[in-house]
Amino acid sequence: MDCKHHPVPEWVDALRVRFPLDREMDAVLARKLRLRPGPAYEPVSQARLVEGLRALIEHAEGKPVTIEQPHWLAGGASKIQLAFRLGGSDGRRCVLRMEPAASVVETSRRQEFELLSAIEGVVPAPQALWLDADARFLPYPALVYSFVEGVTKPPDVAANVSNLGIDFGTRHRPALAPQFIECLARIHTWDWRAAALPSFERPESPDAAIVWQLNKWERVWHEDCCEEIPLIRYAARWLRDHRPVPDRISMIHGDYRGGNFLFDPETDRITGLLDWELAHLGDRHEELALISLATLGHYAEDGHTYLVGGMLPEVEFFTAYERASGLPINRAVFDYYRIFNAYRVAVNLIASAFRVASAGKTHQDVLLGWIMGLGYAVLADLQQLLEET
Amino acid sequence: MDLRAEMQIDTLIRAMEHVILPAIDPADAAAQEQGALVLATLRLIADRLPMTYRYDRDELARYVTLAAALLEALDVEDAARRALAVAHAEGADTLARAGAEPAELLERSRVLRAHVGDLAERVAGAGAECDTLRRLIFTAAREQTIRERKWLEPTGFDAAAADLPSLEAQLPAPHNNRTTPGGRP
Repeated sequence: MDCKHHPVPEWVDALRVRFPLDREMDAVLARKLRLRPGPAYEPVSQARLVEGLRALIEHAEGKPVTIEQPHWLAGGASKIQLAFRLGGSDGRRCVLRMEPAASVVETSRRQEFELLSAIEGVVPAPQALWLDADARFLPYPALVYSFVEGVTKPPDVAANVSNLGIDFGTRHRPALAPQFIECLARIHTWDWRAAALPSFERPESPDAAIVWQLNKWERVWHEDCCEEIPLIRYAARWLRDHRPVPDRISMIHGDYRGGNFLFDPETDRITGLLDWELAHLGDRHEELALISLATLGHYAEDGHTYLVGGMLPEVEFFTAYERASGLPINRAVFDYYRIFNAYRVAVNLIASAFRVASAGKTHQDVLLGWIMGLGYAVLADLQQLLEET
Repeated sequence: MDLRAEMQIDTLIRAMEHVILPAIDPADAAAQEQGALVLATLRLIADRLPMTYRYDRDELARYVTLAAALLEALDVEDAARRALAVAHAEGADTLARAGAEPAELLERSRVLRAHVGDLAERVAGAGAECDTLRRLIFTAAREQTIRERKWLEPTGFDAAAADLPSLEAQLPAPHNNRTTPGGRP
């Protein structure tokens, strides 16, 4: 196996200098490389997690607790999730969200916890409860949030790997689409500057946020890729040379799509937005372009109307978004972020999925090996988009 | 393409070890036995797969050597000897052209990819004077992604892959250098 499985400090330091990031993400990626030569993932027993949870919560609450009815949750391709109920009179249902030995997306539990805390009341989301950012109580960094009732897909729709491109059908789509867009607009117009987000570094220049993103994904490519892909290198340079200055810096969810929200299948009310780990400060067009990725939508029942995010035709979707947010969509900026998203998804699915799965670092390497297949379809999109510029 | 059989088999083994086998009903003896056999077979394949090409080349070398010795020792010139001589000559020719290890092929591609990648980054930052280079890079990328998409069609992520040329058409068997020198068919 290539030498990136055993990175030397000089190489790591050189990448940090070449691709500077906000402090939290810099620390996350540096930690990733520091731990990389370590052991592969070993299954963690429910008993070990229950013991860690008990210690974490007792330390935070200052009183004895019991953990009841633990059971694994499926879904997602990156984190280990265990649902449980607090014993005694409390009785709350909760979810532990813990990293494996390495993850296909390395993110900060601290940022995820802060954001869930800060965005409470803005959009429906799980309530952040406890944080073990440095794995003091649990085997790996983790957070605990409240259990949210709901389903990610209609009960009669077959499961798909990572719930990509869910078809909500004519029964649920009309009610879900306006909520999906309304929640997105609320996130993008949220006054994050007034929120308590100490680990989110404020961009100091107009384009600092996009420069951080470009640095992050180029650094991840160099850290994780096995074989070089010239098109990826071309894209990295093109994106730097053509980056737009944002008219506004918004909070970006980072993985806003069907499969990452829960809804009540009876009332069609969205009950919780999930998977905030990729959230960051940036340009709203980045999120809109991500939602528009072909793999996250599908064609309507007529066979030829493409539904963005599996929700609405593009024109209707963006009109509704502009109305809900009061923010305009700039087509040129949107097109730039289509290329950016194809690039970063390809980096993630080809380089990081390979690196993590080939080192046996997660609880679902077989899933990562499978979704790498999507990375090459996205690479074809990237090639086509770049060639059209 | 990094999604290779060696890596995929390793992930299958870990899924069997960590998730699937522990979940099989202990009372179902047949499922237990076959689960264990699936795991053992995957381990056997993972262990031997990297040596398969070397094995096949060794096999051919042994028969070329044996045939040469047999031809030397045969003192009659009949149809069987003539057939063996033809097979020996063809086998020796194939063996002579099968010198490089699969790992060496991968390494040469890796080095070329890295140098082309450096150049692609420069071309992306250049102007119209590099349009020819840009066109070559995009053409190669287009052809390669068509191949990768077809290769990965069974994952089901790319519905349009069904309409792409078959792998048989995209990956022509190597031609005999003596009869079709140079160029791709």
